[in-house]
Amino acid sequence: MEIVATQSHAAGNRFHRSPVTVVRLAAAAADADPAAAHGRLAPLLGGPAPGDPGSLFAATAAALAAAAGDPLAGTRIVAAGEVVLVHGATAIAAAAATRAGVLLAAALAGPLPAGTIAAAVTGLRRTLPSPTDRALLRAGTARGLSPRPGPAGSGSHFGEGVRMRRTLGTVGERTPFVSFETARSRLLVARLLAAHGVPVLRLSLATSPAAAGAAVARLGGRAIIRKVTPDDGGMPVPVSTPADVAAAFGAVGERAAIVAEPPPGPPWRFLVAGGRSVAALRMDPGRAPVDATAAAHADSHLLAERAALVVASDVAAVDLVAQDMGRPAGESGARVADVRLGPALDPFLAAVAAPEALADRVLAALLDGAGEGRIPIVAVAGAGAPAVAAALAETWRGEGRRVGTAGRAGLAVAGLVLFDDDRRGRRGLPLLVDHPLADAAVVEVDADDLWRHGLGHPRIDVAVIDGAVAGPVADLLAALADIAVVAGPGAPPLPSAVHAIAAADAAGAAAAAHAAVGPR
Amino acid sequence: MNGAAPVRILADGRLAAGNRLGGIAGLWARVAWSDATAIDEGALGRWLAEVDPNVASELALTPAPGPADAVAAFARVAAALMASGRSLAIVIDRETTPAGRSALVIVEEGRAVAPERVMAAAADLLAAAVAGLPAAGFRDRVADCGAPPIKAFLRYAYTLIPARLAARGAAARPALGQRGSLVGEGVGARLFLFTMGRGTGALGAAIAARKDACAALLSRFGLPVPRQLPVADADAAEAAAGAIGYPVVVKPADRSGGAGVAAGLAHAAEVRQAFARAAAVSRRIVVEEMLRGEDHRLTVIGGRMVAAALRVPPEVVGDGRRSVRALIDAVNADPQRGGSRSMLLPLVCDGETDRLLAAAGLTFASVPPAGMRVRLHSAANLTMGARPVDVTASVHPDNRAAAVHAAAIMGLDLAGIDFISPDIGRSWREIGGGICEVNREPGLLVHQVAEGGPDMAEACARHILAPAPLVPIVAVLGGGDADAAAQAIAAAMAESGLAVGLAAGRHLVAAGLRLSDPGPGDPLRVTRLVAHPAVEAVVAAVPPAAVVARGFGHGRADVALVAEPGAPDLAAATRIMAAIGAEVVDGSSPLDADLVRRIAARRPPS
Repeated sequence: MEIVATQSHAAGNRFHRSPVTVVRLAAAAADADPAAAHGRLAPLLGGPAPGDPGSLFAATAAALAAAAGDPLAGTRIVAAGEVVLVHGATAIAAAAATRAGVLLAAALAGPLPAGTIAAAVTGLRRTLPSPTDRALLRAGTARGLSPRPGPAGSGSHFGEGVRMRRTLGTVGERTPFVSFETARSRLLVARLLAAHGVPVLRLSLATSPAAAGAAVARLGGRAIIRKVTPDDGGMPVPVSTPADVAAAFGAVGERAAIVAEPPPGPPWRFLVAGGRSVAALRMDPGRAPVDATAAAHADSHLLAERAALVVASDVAAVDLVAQDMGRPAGESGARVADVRLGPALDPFLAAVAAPEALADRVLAALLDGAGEGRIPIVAVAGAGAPAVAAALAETWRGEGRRVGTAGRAGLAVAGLVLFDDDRRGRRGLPLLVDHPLADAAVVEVDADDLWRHGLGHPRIDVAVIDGAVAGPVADLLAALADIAVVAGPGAPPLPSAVHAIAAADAAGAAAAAHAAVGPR
Repeated sequence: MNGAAPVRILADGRLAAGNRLGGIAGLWARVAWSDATAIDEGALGRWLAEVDPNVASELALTPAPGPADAVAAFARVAAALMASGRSLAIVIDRETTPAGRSALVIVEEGRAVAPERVMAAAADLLAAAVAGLPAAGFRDRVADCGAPPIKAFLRYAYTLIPARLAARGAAARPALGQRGSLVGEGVGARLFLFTMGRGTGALGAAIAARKDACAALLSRFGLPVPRQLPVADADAAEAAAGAIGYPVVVKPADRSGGAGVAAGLAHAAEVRQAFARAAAVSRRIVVEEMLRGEDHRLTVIGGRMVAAALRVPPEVVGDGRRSVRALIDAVNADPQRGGSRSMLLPLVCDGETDRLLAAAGLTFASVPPAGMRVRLHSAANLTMGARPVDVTASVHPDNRAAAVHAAAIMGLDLAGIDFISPDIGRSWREIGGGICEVNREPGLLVHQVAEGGPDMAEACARHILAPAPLVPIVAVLGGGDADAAAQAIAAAMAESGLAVGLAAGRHLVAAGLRLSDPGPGDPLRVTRLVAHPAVEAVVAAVPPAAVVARGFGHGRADVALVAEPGAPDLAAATRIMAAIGAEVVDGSSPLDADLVRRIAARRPPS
């Protein structure tokens, strides 16, 4: 199966609101046997063999993406040999297409060597963001927040303009840097919690094996030795002899190590999101973590919540140790052993019964009241677009909005001109929705570019068509508009299902769009 | 020290906030003193100056409380050891009893690494000064107890925001070491590090630490930033400089404070040297287009540009008479430069100065003609002696907007934008210029020392506090009766929907969470409840004698309920509570429902 060409479309395209990859396949060779290939891919593909090569390709790509951990949002055959793959939570479609092509070609050629399918899945998984990021992106998609990767180093973006929130893993935009810095040191966290009277494992910092030995002696002759940063996993084994202490200090491999009293048992890890302890895991050494949310006493959950609150984190994994985590605080002797900011969700997602709900609660904590995450967006097409956009922007500014505008003449946000080149459509809209000051956006659209490459954002509130625009383009704009389409002079007829508002001129179109969006 | 010492410490300790000094924490010492030793002020100052000029400078600025005897000198030395820029409050009670005479000395606790060592160090320093012992032997004592190990002028900068917070009735308590502080109460409590509070997000701060990522991000949004190329070695640096066009800047992408930065490099040899210097401090080096214009700092707080300063690189102006060296010495003779409460630093010369002088055809011995400006550094860093000029009122709206946009895009509520412009009064869109750096932890001094500049410490204090609600705090004075009354009030407040922090009897509970308990009478109980971020109201039973002896534990209270009229030290304790703002109420009769309602009505806005 040979891929002749692939083309990527930005979000808001003629196939789907999500970004897609369109694949054109060469006609199958005369002697190709799709049924045999389907059989060779049986471990990956269930169900009956598809009748045509395009469908087989689509099924293979979808199965690969699902196995890698990011199912496609859909597949479609738009013409013979032309397959549309819709991105899942991440931009997986292009990579899934490439690997599906290679795998299918091999399956058509003959029996597959053992491990071929597994290698394809593993390879694809490597191109994906972490399981934590995928879970949050999926939760964001479910909330209609059009999640997207931010520019390098700035994490993921959820929502639009002033209502956008950025995250880096489970560190939120509002997570204070002070908290982040504090949480990088077990010593600082323990000091902070102890100063607040929150019970913690007693610990100290040692900068040499000899100092570690002295600290162990102060703790009664037995202690655990671990890194200063809480980026290592569970609890190390307690040490007591000088040789063990020296070896443990050396194993940390840094200039300083934490010497802590030996915990009464293996830690339980509590996930705190938005002030609530939403899950707890038993972290027994050598075994997979077990969901213990219900088994932990309410006092233990409360202790975890307060530890996270004192460190001022949106999302934290709090390790507690206790004689018995299921007993009230007065009896359990529960204490805090670790607070991690921005923890990986993997162990929690793997252990709990409803991982989607858990990821959604974490995302809600990171969004920090950003609500539905949307700002009004109006896209304007046709010869009258500049006039309509200018009139609408002017009206919005009069209401005190910080308008973002993108058009042939450039791009501006809140009165500051940022670009003076052609910023219509996908060249401007993604910047407006990513700009944290914009509280409304109006974008001019180049019909041809929209048709060929997409809009750059999965949705708009209102489309305005002022002037002659091809029917399919008008239909596409109508499909992207959540509220209405304003049809000015020259607009083509629209499908009857569309909420269409007629306007006589540019001023009327701007006023109609303004009214359709509603007041500030 | 022997018996001939001017003062001898009989006992000493710490006092929590809410004591005879008022709402601030203190150190106390009971001392015996001798009139046999006359204190020579001048000699004491000169001797201390040899130990540590900053301590001597603080001593000179600390007024004597009452008669200037050995006790007063001791108290002032203790205050000077901790002051770092502000005179600390002192109270002295001298008393004579048949057993002899002694004095109780209370000094406001300032900035000290080890406050518990301050009183002993003050007594020993005073004795050593009087005895004329070699000063060098006492430098460790100062470092040991007193000043945090940072430059004196930064030490002063660190005191500015806490001082403004205190003036607004919100005393900051130290947390997380010397720079960190906790301010506010209960649900309004917040941590801050220097200028970085809640509004400095972890994501923005992480990007700001990487100058390369920061430039790429701002450029994506059309903001003016210099072209930048990462380089791995001197050859690459030279090639990048050629591609960008001279002059260029070479700097590490992940260092701050001007470390390893060289600007105005005009040819390949300079670029190669600059690369070597930058590579000594970092492995991530970039070569950057040199924006043309003057160096400005635009500070953004909460979405507004609140201050702008033009940073003039350190320079001297020739007078046709004096040498470069003499001109530098003359500037540095200005008492405003250096010293414990100065915000300007002396001009410093280094290898860059030698290069700049050589490039101008000068040496330190040359006598520049009248009016000639002789640059000593290319960058305008305060640490090199630069003195900024306030330009807040003249910044063009486009430049102001660029700074505000940059801070928002970085996700920083408080940011210092380094903006290069030939004329800050004209738009970057018109005459060029741009942003060469975004600082997540902007210094205050650049605006504070600029003549006519706004009080940035005040702006930061407001920003850190807002919105920081105060929570109702009720002290119940007495013994066992107080415990029962406190529990009753706490129960009534909890019923009205408040998350209560309670200290009474064996209970130390913050909104349902049992805290580690230092024990009844320990002021830490109140301190912990007030600091607890889930608490909306605090009720604490406290023995009056404990308030007098160890302090209340917080610098403010709303109500002091007298539950046991005959308790020891009650009069002194109610005086302290009244002085920190508490309404003193008779609580010996059954619980007054109206009182509870009034207290609960002070609940913080959610």
